[in-house]
Amino acid sequence: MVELWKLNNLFKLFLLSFIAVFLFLIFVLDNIIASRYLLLVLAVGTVAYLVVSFRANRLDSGRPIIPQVRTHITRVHLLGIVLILSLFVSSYIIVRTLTAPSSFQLVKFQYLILPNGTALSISPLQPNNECAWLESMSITMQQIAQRQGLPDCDFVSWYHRASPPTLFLEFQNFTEFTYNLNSTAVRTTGSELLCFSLSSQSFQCWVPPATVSHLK
Amino acid sequence: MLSTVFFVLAVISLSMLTFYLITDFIVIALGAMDIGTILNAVSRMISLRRVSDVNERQRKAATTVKFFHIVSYACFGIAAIVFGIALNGLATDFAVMGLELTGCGTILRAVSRDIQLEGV
Repeated sequence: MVELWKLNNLFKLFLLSFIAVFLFLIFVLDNIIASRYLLLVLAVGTVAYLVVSFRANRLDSGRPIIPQVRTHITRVHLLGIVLILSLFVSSYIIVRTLTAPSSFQLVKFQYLILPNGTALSISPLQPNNECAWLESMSITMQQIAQRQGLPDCDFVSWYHRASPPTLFLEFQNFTEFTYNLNSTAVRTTGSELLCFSLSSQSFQCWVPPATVSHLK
Repeated sequence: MLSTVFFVLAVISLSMLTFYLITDFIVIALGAMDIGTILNAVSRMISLRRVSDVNERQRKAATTVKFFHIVSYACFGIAAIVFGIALNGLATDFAVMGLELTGCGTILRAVSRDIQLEGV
């Protein structure tokens, strides 16, 4: 009967080869359909692993082994566990509550209204103001974006040189449009959008039905 | 036993990958696999220390080191491939995968070295 540590290593090799085959199918053979069938291989491998590891575990627990030192959970151990768990929970709560966006208003994609009432007119960056968050896209979407010649938002120059007031509109398909913002005397109202300040005068907004979870 | 849990979490992430084709799931799976690998390697190291017979311990240590070396070579091999993809396409996701795989390979080499030294 195979030992559990050996089985774990074998399963790790199985998972690594799964990843290698998946990447090969996608990037070399460009065969997305075949990659879907890999799920069956993964399921069969996992079931086999779980069954064998369960049996190995049972055999191990039935066998007389060298007497083990009984570990007592002390107060320090407990405090450590509570501290680590509370770190995770408090970070989540802080990120969820303190980073909540303030609302701005966008009217027909022409004006951005700040909460203090200041209006800014929107004009597309010339000659091209569109880019794609390639890493957030699925592989098929990535291929479409690359065929359209969209640059990766990670590397476009305007994204890193947002010194003039700029507006970034991110859409659910992970494409993003960039606009220049200029002061205007227009007073108007519109529907509210979720926007974040990127610097003193730059904003990133999500256009419905896009959601905030797609923030890069 | 806990390592099995992390390997199963990796499987869940990889099955999400086949559904959504988003490479981030490989990063998550590799992270879970790394934790599983560390737990597995360290628990093996500890269990070898409990073997009182020197000959038996040396025999088991040799097998363990051989196994760990095979897995670490696999980790480094795939790390090289994903680093290649990362450099070619400036894809940061793949660079993270490469680092995770290199980390897994390095940890296994380190544990193997420790087992070798203790087995002497």
